[in-house]
Amino acid sequence: MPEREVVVDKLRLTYEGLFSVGELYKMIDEWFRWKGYDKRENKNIEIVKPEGKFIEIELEPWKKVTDYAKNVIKIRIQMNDIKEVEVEKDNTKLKLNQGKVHFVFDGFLETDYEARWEGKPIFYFIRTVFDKYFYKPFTAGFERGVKEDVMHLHGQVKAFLNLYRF
Amino acid sequence: MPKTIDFRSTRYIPIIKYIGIFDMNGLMKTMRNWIVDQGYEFHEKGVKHKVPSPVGAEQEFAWWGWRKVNSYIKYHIDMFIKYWDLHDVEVVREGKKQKLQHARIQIEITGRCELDWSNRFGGSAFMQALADFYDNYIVRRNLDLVYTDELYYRLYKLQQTIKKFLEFETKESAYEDMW
Repeated sequence: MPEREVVVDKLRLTYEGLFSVGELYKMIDEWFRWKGYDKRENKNIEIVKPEGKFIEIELEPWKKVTDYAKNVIKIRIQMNDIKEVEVEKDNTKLKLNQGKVHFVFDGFLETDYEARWEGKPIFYFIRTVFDKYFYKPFTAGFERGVKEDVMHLHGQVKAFLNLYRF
Repeated sequence: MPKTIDFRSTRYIPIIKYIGIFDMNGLMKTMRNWIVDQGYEFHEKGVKHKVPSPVGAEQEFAWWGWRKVNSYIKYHIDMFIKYWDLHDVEVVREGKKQKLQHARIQIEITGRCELDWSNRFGGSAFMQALADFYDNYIVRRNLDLVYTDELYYRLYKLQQTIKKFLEFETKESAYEDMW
């Protein structure tokens, strides 16, 4: 199994008010594609309730940085009481959603994702020693990359939600 | 024996869950048509129907589709569809009365890339070793970046088709034009 280093641990963001669920999802998806991540959607749940929709999404896209390391970003999005509303802005009617949304961002650096160094205990030992002492400057650089990506996405989501503060 | 790249161990395909009103006949037709339209041979591996309780029936479908890509690679799609508390409801939509269904749905989609389906490298241990060398070194990059990648993103298109049919809020995808 590959080694997973936690780089960003449960960075949270909560918002309540007007926004577009479809646009928000599209923005996140586009951001991942633009950054060169491969799509991975672990979970997609929609429950229609009288008080509004409950939506739960878990995305875990990944990007291979080298043959040995890859970036993994995990976002859990939970939306509650999502209702459709019509808003008038600059004399144009907009169809938006109103509700609560909660994000949890995690960033990981996955090393030896092809499990090439796991055949024998000695290989596993060598890998750990090399990761911790010899390749530290490289792995630290990759970890910085993961952190930058998570922070950038976090900022983008925040900026996106701020657009809806009329 | 042919080797398989199974997405369950390498790449992951999501599980769709939905609770609400939907058109079951339309959903089943949409999914089946997508598989057939993409050139897959369609098989229904299993159907289960439990005696309905007061909250509704329980139904299970296991589907399998396969398609030859070339003389070496074959794509497989496996689908597992389950309905709980399935019952009919009458809805008035655009002034017309419609008979729809209400249920809890779970849809799992996964894929497999079968290598050497024509068994060219079958037989001796030497040929098997040659096949391993061929897959792991000679065509490895192509297998990863072309074939498994194509099947993977096509499965996401199937997922998107289902989301669109069920009118999910997250029906749009930025990866639509990948393959």
